[in-house]
Amino acid sequence: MADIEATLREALRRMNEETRCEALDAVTADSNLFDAVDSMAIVDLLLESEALLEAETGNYVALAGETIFDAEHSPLRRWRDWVAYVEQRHGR
Amino acid sequence: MADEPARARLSFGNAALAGIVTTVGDRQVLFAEEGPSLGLEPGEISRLQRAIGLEARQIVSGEQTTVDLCEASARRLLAGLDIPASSVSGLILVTQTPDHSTPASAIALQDRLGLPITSMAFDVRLGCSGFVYGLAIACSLVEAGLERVLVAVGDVASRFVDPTDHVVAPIMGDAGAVALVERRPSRSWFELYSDGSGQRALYIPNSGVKRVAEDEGRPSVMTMDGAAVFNFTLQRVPDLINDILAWSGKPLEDIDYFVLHQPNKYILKNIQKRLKVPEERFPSATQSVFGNQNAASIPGTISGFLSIPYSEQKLVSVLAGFGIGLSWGAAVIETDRIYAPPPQFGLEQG
Repeated sequence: MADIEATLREALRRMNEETRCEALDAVTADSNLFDAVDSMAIVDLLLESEALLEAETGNYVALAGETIFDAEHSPLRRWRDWVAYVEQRHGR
Repeated sequence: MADEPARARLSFGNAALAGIVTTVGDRQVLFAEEGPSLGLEPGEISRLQRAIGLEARQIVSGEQTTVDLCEASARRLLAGLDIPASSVSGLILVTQTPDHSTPASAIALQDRLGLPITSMAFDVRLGCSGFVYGLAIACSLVEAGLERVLVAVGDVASRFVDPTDHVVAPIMGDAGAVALVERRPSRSWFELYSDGSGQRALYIPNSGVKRVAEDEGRPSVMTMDGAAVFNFTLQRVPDLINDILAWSGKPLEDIDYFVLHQPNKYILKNIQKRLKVPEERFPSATQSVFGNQNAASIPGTISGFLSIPYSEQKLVSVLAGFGIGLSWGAAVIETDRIYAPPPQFGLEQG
């Protein structure tokens, strides 16, 4: 079974290779991705995460939902919420 | 029991789509080449190319307008169908970039095409939902008695953006498409929606008579809240498509093509995967090749990528447009070997 958090960390690392946001070099459970990067970087993160998870699980699961860019309710406002959100999308 | 809200649902049995022609701007702009002038670093350019598929767009040269593009498409359409302009009794022009704020650009187009003065011509001010709306209005007019109605949809959006805005400028393409609806048996179903509470997600400030304090001093160019538009799309479009399928009674498997407005590759892929539709029935490359064609993106996608199947086969399609307004709508339509040549690049016929 895929370790979703490890996969999400790898997706974040790949996204940040180009975004180069220092705040995302060492993510903690409370790190706020939403405020750290622009909307294009978030789309990039979604793409990286979806692709890596599809490669590992064999299933494509769309991660973007109507809350992703919601300034108040985005799961990207806290790393642990993001992991939980993705796990829930993958039926964990 | 609470009353159900009124719904804009329409269905037709005697209005058929006979053809579609699209004219795109003659000038190709490559994102990799314009990126630096927008202040983008090479890494950001490749990120945008990968994330949302920005590659190229076709825009007009010089002073070409929406009516110019639509006139070229309409002339080619009427010639291709061998239909005299004198037999057309209705013309709808859907655009956000009319040649003048008044009078209606449709009336100028009526004159340039030589449509009779006994025809009706009017503008509809909508954007990315505009083709579905225009088609619904045309079908209504045909079922109410008109024999043939042209639906022109077009925008020269590249002329209404800040050329240094790296969010909006590299997205916009210019196109004018024209479809002909005529009276003969064919079934279609439409659902139309509006939500003005989201009007500032995409808008041009200081572009009408209303003055808003927070817009004071802002230029009259397209402004986009990308996050709000993204949320709107993912919130509304999957339900929109499931609802139109239910209303038409067509199962998803019976649909040959899902032709949606083409905002960007990522959003379209997301919707396609949610709906569990195979990629080959869900075109998504229009933005990458032609740019965002706004109201013309649905016919532009048919002309650009589905010319052969629409020309040679009997098809059932889902069309869906969504965007500025906020306004959205979908249709299920039957077509039978329509006139649908590949797009024309620029006003001169090759």
